[in-house]
Amino acid sequence: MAKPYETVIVVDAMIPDESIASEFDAIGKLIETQGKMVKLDRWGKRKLAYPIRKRTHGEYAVFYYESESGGLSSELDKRLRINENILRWLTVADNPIGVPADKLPEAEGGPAPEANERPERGGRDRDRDDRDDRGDRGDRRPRRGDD
Amino acid sequence: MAERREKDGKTKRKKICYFTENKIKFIDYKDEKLLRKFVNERGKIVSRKISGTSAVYQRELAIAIKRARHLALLPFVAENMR
Repeated sequence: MAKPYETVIVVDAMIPDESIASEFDAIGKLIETQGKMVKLDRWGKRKLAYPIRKRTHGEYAVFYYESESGGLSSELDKRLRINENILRWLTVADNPIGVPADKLPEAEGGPAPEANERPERGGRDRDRDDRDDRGDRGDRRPRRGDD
Repeated sequence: MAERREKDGKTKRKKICYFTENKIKFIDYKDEKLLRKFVNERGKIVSRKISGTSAVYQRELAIAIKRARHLALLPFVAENMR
């Protein structure tokens, strides 16, 4: 009987966007040969919690699919191991969490799964500048010893 | 009974298991925000003595955190400690 699987894949974010897309496409196609894709959830670019092979950022994607046990995961493993652009991957079978439901589209823009437009940089320093002026605090109150 | 008086005069507050309380059945290794609550500043898994997590969930939590570490969602060692 086919089991639900999920595979998280971290691709090097330094390579061009098209290569990232093609890496994910290739994996999707491989899954389709022996299983059935249920959902692809792309997280976009994320900072890695620690550098992996000198890389600080990774493109994350989660593949949800169904497949018979055996064949596919080992084939996938073999392919991912060889691929230099893949930093990390993890396959979990029968995750009780299941496939995430699509987020409700809040605006017309929809859920927008490819949210990798914003580079995660300079977040902390940026909001330094747009802090409010303290404004004119007026004159200091007279000191006790004066006049 | 919220508090219990110990022999040495200290009061002990009853700890609450986060997962039982919030009716979280399964802990997802992809949920970084949740897992962050259960690692300290050094990136170590907080013991259930401190966090109050029940044994069943602590076991599941430990696995989830380790998976998250593998995927570089969580650090093995905090950035500033390395």
